[in-house]
Amino acid sequence: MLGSPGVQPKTIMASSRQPFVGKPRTLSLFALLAFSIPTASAESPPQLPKVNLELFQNSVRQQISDVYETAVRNPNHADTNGRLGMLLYAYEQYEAAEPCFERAMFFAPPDYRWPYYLGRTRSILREHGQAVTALEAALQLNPGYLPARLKLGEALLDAGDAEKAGKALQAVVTEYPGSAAAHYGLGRYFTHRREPDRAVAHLQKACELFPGFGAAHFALARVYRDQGDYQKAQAHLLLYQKDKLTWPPAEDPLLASIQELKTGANARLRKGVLLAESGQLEAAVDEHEAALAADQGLVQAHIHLIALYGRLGNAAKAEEHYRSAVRINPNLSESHYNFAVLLIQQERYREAEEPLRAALKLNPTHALALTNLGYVLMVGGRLDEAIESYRAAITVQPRNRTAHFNLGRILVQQGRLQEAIAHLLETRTPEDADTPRYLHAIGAAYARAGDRTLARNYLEEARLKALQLKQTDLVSSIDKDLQTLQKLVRQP
Amino acid sequence: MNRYFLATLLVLVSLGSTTETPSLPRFVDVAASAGIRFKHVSGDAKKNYIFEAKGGGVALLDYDLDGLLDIYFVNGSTIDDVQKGRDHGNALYRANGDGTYSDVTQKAGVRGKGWAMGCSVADYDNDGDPDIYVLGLNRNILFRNNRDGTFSDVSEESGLKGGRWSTSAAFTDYDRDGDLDVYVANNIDVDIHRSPLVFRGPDCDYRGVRVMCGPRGLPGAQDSLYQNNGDGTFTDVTVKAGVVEPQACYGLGVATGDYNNDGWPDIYVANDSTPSYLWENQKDGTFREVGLLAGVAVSEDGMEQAGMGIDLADYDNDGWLDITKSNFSFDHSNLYRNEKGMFDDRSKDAGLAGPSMPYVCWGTRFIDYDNDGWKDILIATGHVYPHLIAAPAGGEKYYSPRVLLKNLRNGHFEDVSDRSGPGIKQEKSSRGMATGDLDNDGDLDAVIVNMDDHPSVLRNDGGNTRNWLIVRLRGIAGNRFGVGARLTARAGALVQTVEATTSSSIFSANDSRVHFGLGSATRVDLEISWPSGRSQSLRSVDVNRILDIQEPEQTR
Repeated sequence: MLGSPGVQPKTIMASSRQPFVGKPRTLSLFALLAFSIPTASAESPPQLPKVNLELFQNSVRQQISDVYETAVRNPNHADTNGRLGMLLYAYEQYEAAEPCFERAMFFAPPDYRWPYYLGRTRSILREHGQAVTALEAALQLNPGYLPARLKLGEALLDAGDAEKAGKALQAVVTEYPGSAAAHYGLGRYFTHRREPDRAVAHLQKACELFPGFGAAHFALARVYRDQGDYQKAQAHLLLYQKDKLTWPPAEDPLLASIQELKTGANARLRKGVLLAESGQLEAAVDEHEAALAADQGLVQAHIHLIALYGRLGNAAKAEEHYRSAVRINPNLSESHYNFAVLLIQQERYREAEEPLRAALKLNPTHALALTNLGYVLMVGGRLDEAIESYRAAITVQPRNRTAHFNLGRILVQQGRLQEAIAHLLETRTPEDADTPRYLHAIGAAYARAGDRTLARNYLEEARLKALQLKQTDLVSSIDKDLQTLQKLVRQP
Repeated sequence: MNRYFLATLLVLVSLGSTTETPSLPRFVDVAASAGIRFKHVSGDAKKNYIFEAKGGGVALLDYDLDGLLDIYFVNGSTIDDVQKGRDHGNALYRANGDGTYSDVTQKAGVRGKGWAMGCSVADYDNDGDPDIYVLGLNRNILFRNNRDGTFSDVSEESGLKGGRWSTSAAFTDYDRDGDLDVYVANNIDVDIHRSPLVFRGPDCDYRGVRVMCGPRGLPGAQDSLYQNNGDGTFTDVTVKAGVVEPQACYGLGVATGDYNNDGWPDIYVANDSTPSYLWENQKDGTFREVGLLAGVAVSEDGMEQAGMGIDLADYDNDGWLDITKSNFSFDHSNLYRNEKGMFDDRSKDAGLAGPSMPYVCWGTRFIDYDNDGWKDILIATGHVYPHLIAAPAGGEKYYSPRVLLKNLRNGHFEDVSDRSGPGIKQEKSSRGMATGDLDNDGDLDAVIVNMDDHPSVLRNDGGNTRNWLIVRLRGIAGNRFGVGARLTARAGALVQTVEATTSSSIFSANDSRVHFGLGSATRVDLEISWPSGRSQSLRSVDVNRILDIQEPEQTR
C-alpha cells in the first residue's frame, strides 16, 4: 500500500500584522499636520483629516483620493464624510477615520450608522470610554441593532464598567438566546468577575451554538484550567487550535459595507484566500482573478491559482498561471512546488520531478517538496533516491509522518525491517484519520519481522480505530492480515 | 491673626506636599562620551526584506575578568556585501575603568563574518571565563575565550556553526550534568545567497502600504537544542529532547528559568506572529510544550502575537518567576503573572497595555532600576517600516522612545518614561537591549542597539540612592558562572527571588552577576540553591558591594 502524497499545495496565509488598534501617546508635528484631529465641540465638528496619499499602493491611493476629493467638495454632507471614514477604516487608518465619523454625526444626528462606526473606531483605538458614549448614542437611534449592543457590552468591559457590561450583555442574551457571540461576551464578563460556573455555562453555550467558535473555546479552556480541570481545558484548546480565528458569521451589514470597500488587489487576494480556506473554490478563483485584473504582477495570486485550478480539475488554466508566475519571478519556490503538486494529482509523476527539483534548488529545506519528490521517485521505482529524499525531509521536519510512513514502507519492501519499524512508529501521533492506516502498517511490519504479539496488538488497535472512523475497506484489509497472522500462530 | 496663620499654614503645607515627591533615577546616554563609535548596519534603508528590519543585539560581559563589564555589539550587513564577502564587523569594547571604552575587536579576534543578529554569553567550557556565541544569517560563530585577551573561532569543531537564520540563544544546564547546553531560536528558512523573499501579496501589505513581506507566508525555521558533551563539543538533540516544533515558527527571543519551581530549568521562546512556546523540562532529557495550557502562548483573547523580547523574573516577590514579552505596535506587551505554575495575563490590569501599545517593542527586561527591591520593566522600541520616517500613517512613528514602567509593589506599574531622563525619552528605532551595572556603582544600566545608528549606553544616575548588593557566583560542581542558581534575599519583610542567567531580552546577553535592590536595608540574608543541588546560606551580609560567592564543596 503506497502512501498518497496527501500534501496540499501551500497557500500563503492572507493575514497581515495586527490591525491598528491603538493611539500613540504623542503625535509628531508632521502627524499633527497630517491628521489634525481637534475634538468636536457642540458648535463645530473637527476638521477633515489630511491624508498623505503618496504612501499608499496605486489602487488604494486612487480609491481614497476620489472619495477624499468628494468629501472636500462637499464638506458639510454627512454621507461624504461618512463614506471617507468608512474607506479609511477599511484600510485601518482609524485615527483618520475617527474625525470623519464625528463630522458625519454632526451633520446627520439621526443616522445611527455614524455613531456605530465611531464607536467601533474608538474601541480599536482603545478609547473605551468614548467608544461607550458613541455606541450608546447609536443604540438610542436604533435600539435593535444587535452588533452595536454586543460591541457596547465589550466596550463597557474594556472601559472597566463591569456592572453595566454585565447588564448590557445579559439583556442581549435574554433577547437573543441563539446568539453565540452574546453568550461569549457574557461568558467573558463572568470570567472577569471570577464566577467560573456562570462563565462556563455561557461559554459552553456559545460553543454549542457555533462549534467552530475558536475564541470561545479558548476562553472556556482558560476557565477550566483555572478550575484545575486540565483535561477539559486541553480538549477545548484542541478545538481552539482547529478554529483559531473563526467567529460566528456576524450579521452586521454596516461592517460588511466597510469590508466591501476594499477593492484593491491585495484585498481581493485576501478574500480569495479566505474563500479557498472555507472550501468555496470557484468563488476563490473569481476573487484571485479579480485581484490579477487589478494587478497583473501579483504573483501570489498566480501561485494560488495554480492550486485552485488544480483542485477544480482545470489543469490547463493551472499551468497557465504557473507560467505567468515564473515569468514574473522565477525564484519563488512555491510556484514550482504548486505546479508539481498539480502534476502529481494528475499522476504525471515523471513530469513532476522537474518542478520539484526547481523548488528545492531555491529552497533546499522545503519539507513538502522533499516529501513529494520522495513519492515521485518511489512511484518511479527509484527507491534509493526516494529514501534519500524522505530522509532529507525528515531531517528538516522530524515529525513528518508522511515521510516516515513512506520511508518505512520502502524499507519493509527492502527487508530492512527494524529500520522500517523505527520510522513507522514515528507515525503514531498525533491521532487523526490516518492513524488506523499507520497502525496497520506497523502491525504488518512487525508481522514480517516475526514479532507476532506486537503485530497482533497493532493490527487490533488499527482495526478498532478504523471501525470507529467507519473505514470499512481498511477494516477488511486488516481482517485479512489478522487471519493470516492467526494461521501463522497456529503453525508450530 | 488666626485666619492669616491658617492661610499661611495651608500654603506651607501645600508647598511642602509638592516638594515631597521623591525624584526618580534618570537614564543618560553616555555612548559618545564613553568612546563607543560602533554603528549598526542592517541592510538597505528601505528594508526590502524582513531580516533587514530585525536589527541586532549586544552582550555585556567581563571578558578579561578585571571586574568591569565590557560590551560586545553584533553587526548586520547588506545582501550585496554578504554575497560579495564584505563584512561590517562586530565590535568588542573593553571598559577602561573610567567610564570610557576602547575598541579591542581586532586584538581580541571577534570581528566575525557575515550578517550577525544576536549574541549570547556563557562559559561553555567551564574554564572560568565567558565565551561568546554569535547568531546570524546562515552562520553562527562560537568564540572561545583564550584568557589572554583573545578569542578563537571554534564554531566548526564545537558543532554550533548553525546555518539557518538564528536570532537568539539561551545557555542553560537543562540536563543538570554540570555544563551549559544551548537553545537556539531560528526564524525564517532563508539562504541570503539564493531565494529572495519578495512576493506581492497581502503579507506584504501594512495598512494599505506596500512593505517588506512576512513573516506570515514565509517558511519558518526549526529551533535547535544542543547538548554540551563536556569536551568542547555539542550534539544537536532537538529531536531526542522533543523540542521539535510541530509547525516551525518564527523564533526571536529566548529565555530560561525554572518557572514551576521543580528545580529544573525550562525554556520560553517568543515567536513572531505565531504562538510562543514554553518548553517544560521533564527531568529526563526531554521537554514538553505547555505554552497554551500555561497561558503564555497567545494573548488573553487567543490571538497570536508578534512575540519579540522576553524576560523571566519575580516581579511580585512571591517566589515564582513571571514573564514579560514585548510585541508589535497596538498589541501591548504581556505581563504573565505566575500563579504557581499557571499564568494569568495581567497586562491590562497591571498598567502595561497603555504605555506599550503605540510602539513596536523589542528588548525588554525586568530591572530594579531604583533599588527598592521590586522589579520594574524597561522596554526598547522602534518600528520596522521605514516609510514611517517620512509620513507616519495614523500616528505611528519609526523612531520612538523607550518605555520605563515603575513597579508600584501592588501588582501595578506606573509609566514613568517621561520623567526618567533623556535616555528614556530618546527616540530611536531600537532593537536589542542588555542590562547590567556598567560602572559598578550598584544600580543597573542599559545598552541598546539602534537600527543603522550608534547604540545608546544608558547610565543610571540616582538608582543607587537606595542600598543594593551584587553577587558574582563561582560554581564548582556545576557551571562556573552559576547559571541557573536560585538566590533568595531576605531583608526584613522584603524577600526577593532571582535566578541567575544571562539570557533574556532579544538578541542579547546581560550581566551575569545577580543584582538585588534592597531599599533601606543595611544587611541581608542570602540563600542559594546551586544547579548542582547544593545549597548555601549566608546570614547578615553587608550591603552596597559586589560579593563573590563560591559554591560550597560537597559535604561528606
